This record gives sequence, structure tokens and C-alpha cells, in this order.
Amino acid sequence: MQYVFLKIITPATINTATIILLSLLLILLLFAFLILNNSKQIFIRKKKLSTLTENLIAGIVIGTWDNWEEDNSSIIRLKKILHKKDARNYVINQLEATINNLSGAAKQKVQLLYNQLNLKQDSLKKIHSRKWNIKTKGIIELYTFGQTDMIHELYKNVDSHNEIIRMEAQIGIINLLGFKGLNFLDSLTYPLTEWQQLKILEQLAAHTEDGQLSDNLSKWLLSANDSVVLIALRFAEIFQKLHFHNEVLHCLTHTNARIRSQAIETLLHIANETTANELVNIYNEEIFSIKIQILKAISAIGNKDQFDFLLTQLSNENDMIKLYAARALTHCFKTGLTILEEKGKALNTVYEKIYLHIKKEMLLN
Amino acid sequence: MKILLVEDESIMLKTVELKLQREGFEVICCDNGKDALEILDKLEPDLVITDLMLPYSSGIEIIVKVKQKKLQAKIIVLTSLGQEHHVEEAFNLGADDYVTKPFNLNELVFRMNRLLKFK
Repeated sequence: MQYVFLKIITPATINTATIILLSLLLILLLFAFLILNNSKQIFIRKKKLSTLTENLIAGIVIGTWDNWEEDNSSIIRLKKILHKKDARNYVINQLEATINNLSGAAKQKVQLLYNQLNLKQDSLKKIHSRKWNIKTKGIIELYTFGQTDMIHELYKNVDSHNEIIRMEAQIGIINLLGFKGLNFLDSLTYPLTEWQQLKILEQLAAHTEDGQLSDNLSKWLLSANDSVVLIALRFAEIFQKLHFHNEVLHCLTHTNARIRSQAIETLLHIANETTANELVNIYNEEIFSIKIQILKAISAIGNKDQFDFLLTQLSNENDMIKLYAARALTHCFKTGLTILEEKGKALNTVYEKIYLHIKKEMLLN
Repeated sequence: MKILLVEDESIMLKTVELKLQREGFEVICCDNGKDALEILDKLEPDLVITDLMLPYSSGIEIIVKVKQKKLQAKIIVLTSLGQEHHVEEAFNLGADDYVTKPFNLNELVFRMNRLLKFK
């Protein structure tokens, strides 16, 4: 066996093997060099592109409106760079960063520049992509650059099965149309997440409400989509829609406990003299957490009509109910604390503890 | 007047730099916190404009450095919405003013001129 091996490993075969190995190593090195060189070239090209476009965009953005025509030479130079898709995407990203960080005239100029460079076509291509991330990017670009004429493209995606796509489309519509854009709620089939509801409210903060809510709120409060009812209740609360008191009361009988709970929150902000009694009417049918919420609400908006109710709850077997009823009693009635003190003396230690606890709370407040 | 401008978004850095140059300021630019701290070892700017969220070292560290070295430079902080707690920290450490993004470039210049007038 050893003899056969020695016969194969001759100086000639060693030489051949060395040559093959060296050749392979050389090819490998050459290949690595080509890859690195190519990456370097790409990096240099990108660096050149970024420096050039940054200078041109910055120059246009801070230029005065008087020399916008003069700046057109820069726009022509930019257009020349933009024959490649990568370069266009790069410029769109730079414009997006600028518009997200600057306001006033600079923002208007970026929007104008986006239009003059015809970058809308790129955003539209993205919005028609099958990939959700590219589609979302297209939606964001269209609303970021104020493309109100493309609003129908956003409406197409407002009830998309993909949560992120429909979220951005909804935000985009509100961003462009304000309260008027909320009409997508009419036919929304998917639920609005808590996060999305907050994003919608955040977007609306930048717009003025001119009665568009009042025209639609009744319809949304009766929506089959529970999340639409929830956001409508939040609208009524935040925008103080006092004349929707009865519609909100109607939500207290909703099958969804989350809606009933939000309705109580809303009623606290649009309450009238009948609200507390309405809450007492539904109290016995409610689950424990909502019972506590009702007692808290009565503490804030209650009146003499709830006196007997609160006294009854003070005798409830559950200590939490006792505590919240006691708190409401002391908040709504001057005699509340005395009643508690007497009950504490006459009955067991629980009432005494509650009395001392509330007295301490009152001192701290 | 010498301004140290620290912002990691390159297009913003360029735009603000160009605006300030046109307003007659001498601008030294940095796109990260580490370089800005090194510059503060060598130079004494009249005003520092810094973003709070920066790579390598934060805007807060830049403020601390200015105060530690007892430099006379005024400080304007660039913040984003939702960074109010950082603004409070920046003010406690000695920042003189702040601008929230998205901001108006002219407003930034007004604020700079106001601070530099009292220098």
C-alpha cells in the first residue's frame, strides 16, 4: 500500500499539484480583487452621486423664490443624473429626508422639485408593486410629497389585507385631506389597531375640523366594525361633540365591553345632567371592571340623584366596590366623609380603613 | 462667527450648512458625535447646533463637553417630535435653545442671531 502511494507521489506529480494549487489561488485572488474593485467603483459612484445631488438639492432648497427660474439649471443637471433607477431612488430618499426635517418654504420647494423631476412616476410604479414593502414606500412617497391628485391610488389600498399597507394608505389620505379623508371609515372591513387609531388622531392634529365629523359621527357610531365605533367615540371625546350625547349613550348597550368602556370615557367629557343616572341604569348588568369605571365616572360627574345608589354600593360585599363607592360619595357630597366616619365607627374595620384611606387621599390632594 | 453643526442626516447637514454660509457664518460640519467631540478639543466655536440622536456619541455628550471645557459657545439642540424628555435633559445640562424638526430654516437663523447677540 505504502509502495503504491510512493509510486503516485513523484516529484513530477508534486510539481503539477503545486502549479494547479497556485493557479487556483491566483484565480481566487483575481476574483477577490475584481469584486473589491467593483465594490470600490460602486462606492465612488455613489459618493459622487450623493455629493452632487446633495449640493444641488441643498442649493435649490435654500434659494429664494425669486431665482427659482435661475435654479432650473440645477434642476436640469439633476435630471441628467436621474436616468438610472438607483439614482432616482436615491434622490427621492434625500428629498424625503429634507421634507421630513424642514418646514416652510423649503418644504414647498422640495414638493415642487419632486414634481419637476417627474419622480411621481417612480412612486406610482412602487405603489403598483406586488411586494408589500415597495408598495408601502410608494404610498409614503405620494403623501409625503403632497400628491393630492393621486389620492385615488391611496384609496385603493385603504382596506388592503396587509396591515402595514392599509395603515399607510389611511394615514396618507388623512395627511392629504384632513378630516374629509376619514370617509374611508364608512366601508372599512379590517379592524383599526390601537396604534393606528393613535396615528390617525396624531395626523388629525395638524388639520382643522370644519363640521366633517358631525356629518359622519352618527354613522360611524353604528358601524359593524367595532374599531370604527371605538375611534368614533374617541373623536366625540377629543373634539367635544356634545350633541352626540344620545348616540354615545346608545353605545353603553353594545355587546363589546371595550366599546362600552370607551363610551363611559367619552361620556365623562360630554356629560350633561342626565349622564350619571344613565350610568346607574346600566350598572347592575355590567361586568366588574366596568362597574368600577362607572363608580369612578360618578365620582367625577355625579349629583344628588346618585346618593342612594352610592349608599347601596357602600354596603356591597366586594371591598373594591365599597372603596370606589366611598370615594364617589365623598367627592359628590359634603356629608360623604361624615357618613363614612360613622359607618366606620358603627361597623367593622373595613369601613374604618376606607374612611382613613380616603381622608388621607383628601389631605394629599 | 464660527458655528459647529452636528447632524447625521447628510442632506440636512448640507442644506443647513449652505443656509448658514449664505447668512455669513463660518460653518464646521460633523456627521457624528465622536468627530464633534474631537473638534471641540481643537476649536472653540461661538455656537454649537447639534442633533440629539447621533452615531457614536450623542448630542447630550457634546453639551456636557462644552460645559466641562467651560467654552463660551451657545448651544442649540435639534430635536424630533417625541423627544421632549431629552430636551429637558439638554436644558438641564446647559443648552440655550432648541428647534423641533421639521423646522423652518429662517427660524433657526433668527434663534441663532438672538443667542449670538447676547454673547
